[in-house]
Amino acid sequence: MVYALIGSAVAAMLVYDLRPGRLASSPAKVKATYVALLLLAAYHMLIVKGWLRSYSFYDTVTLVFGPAVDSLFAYFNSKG
Amino acid sequence: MNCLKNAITPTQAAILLFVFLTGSSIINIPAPLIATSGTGSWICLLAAGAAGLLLLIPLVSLARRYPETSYVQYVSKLLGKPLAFAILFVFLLYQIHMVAAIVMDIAMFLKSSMMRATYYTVFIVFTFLASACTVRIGLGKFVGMFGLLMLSVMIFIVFITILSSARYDWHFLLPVAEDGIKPLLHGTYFVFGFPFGEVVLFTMILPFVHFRPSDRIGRKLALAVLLNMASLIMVTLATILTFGPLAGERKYSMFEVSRTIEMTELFQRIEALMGYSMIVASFMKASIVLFISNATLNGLLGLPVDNRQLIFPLTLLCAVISITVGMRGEANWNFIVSGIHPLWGILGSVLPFLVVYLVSLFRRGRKVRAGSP
Repeated sequence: MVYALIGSAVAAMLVYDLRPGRLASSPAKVKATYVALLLLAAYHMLIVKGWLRSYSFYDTVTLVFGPAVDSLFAYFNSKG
Repeated sequence: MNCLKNAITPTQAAILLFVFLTGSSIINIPAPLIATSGTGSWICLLAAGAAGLLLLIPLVSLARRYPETSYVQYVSKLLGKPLAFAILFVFLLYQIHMVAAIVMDIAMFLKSSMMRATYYTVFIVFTFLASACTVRIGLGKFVGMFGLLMLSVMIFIVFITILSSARYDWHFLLPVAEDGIKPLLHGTYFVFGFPFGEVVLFTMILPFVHFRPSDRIGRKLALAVLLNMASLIMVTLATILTFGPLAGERKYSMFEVSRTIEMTELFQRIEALMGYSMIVASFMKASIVLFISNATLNGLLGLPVDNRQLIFPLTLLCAVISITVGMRGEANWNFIVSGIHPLWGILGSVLPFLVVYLVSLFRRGRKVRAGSP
């Protein structure tokens, strides 16, 4: 049911944006960005489905900021 | 840059700032803040709010110096394109995270408090659909609607705060800061990151404000921040006064406060009002940030800031990122919101903004004209 909901939302979005005079007449960089955003969404969807074991957006963010936040929390929670 | 179709007045900008700051924070802030800082939470709110007020000085100064010019445009002019691209890309990622996080908070609230048998994804998809459609109609149109919705939210919150006052125990306010200054620093770090440091995102809204030199936009924005501080202090104190030492353990504390209300047979079980407030306020904030992220993305691509062609795929990406949060559990999410979000905001948004402001002070003679790339 969940995937049907997401699928129908994506289908509605594509039908709207691919109508004549919309995305087709846009500059190439808009089309390229549009496709890149769809691919990024598909990449995350594969992770959610469990078909791909890789870093999601928040896994990467935790990898980058996690150690610094741990150090900050250790300081805040220390006595004295 | 043609922002005139979507132009808003300084008063509307101030209302939008109040909505943006108060949005999800009024429900989400009290419990984690009290858990870290205890009864001294109001001190943290005053300190972080003061810092937020100070951020308005460079914000308004840059908006006056570069009228109808977006942050993307003057950062490119002031710092050069490669550095500007790096700064703005991190800024965009921060905004995407914010949109995903705000909607995930709505989903978590609904799932844990009201509709436990429903999947997170259902709330996420429908909220994002509403937000995307709202953003597509344009800033000038949705800002008017948001003022009215926020008024209803604030009426309900004040109403519940007044009704719950019958159960307040004033002894719960003491002692203040018995564990020293570190818990207060922790709380200030948290509330500066969420919501006061987020003021920087308004660099993408101010180009849409049509103001004259006589307009006191700085004062209006400062009033919005002060009202937000007062609202957050009010709900935090109401939570402490109602639950005392257990206040930090009550998630969505104002919702819990509203459940304690029993005044005659008329006013009881009115937590649905807080549910409405939480959903509406968070939806408005999510829409504002989605609008800002679309404007930033357009700016990075050199497109008009209010180009709407990328709103739907951008919303889809934010929605799927939001759905991935559910995979790692609630503890991981709390770590991201209370630990990573403030640090990310300070390093990825506030510090670069202050650098841009400092550079602009040294380049007073050169002005960036609207319409330049």
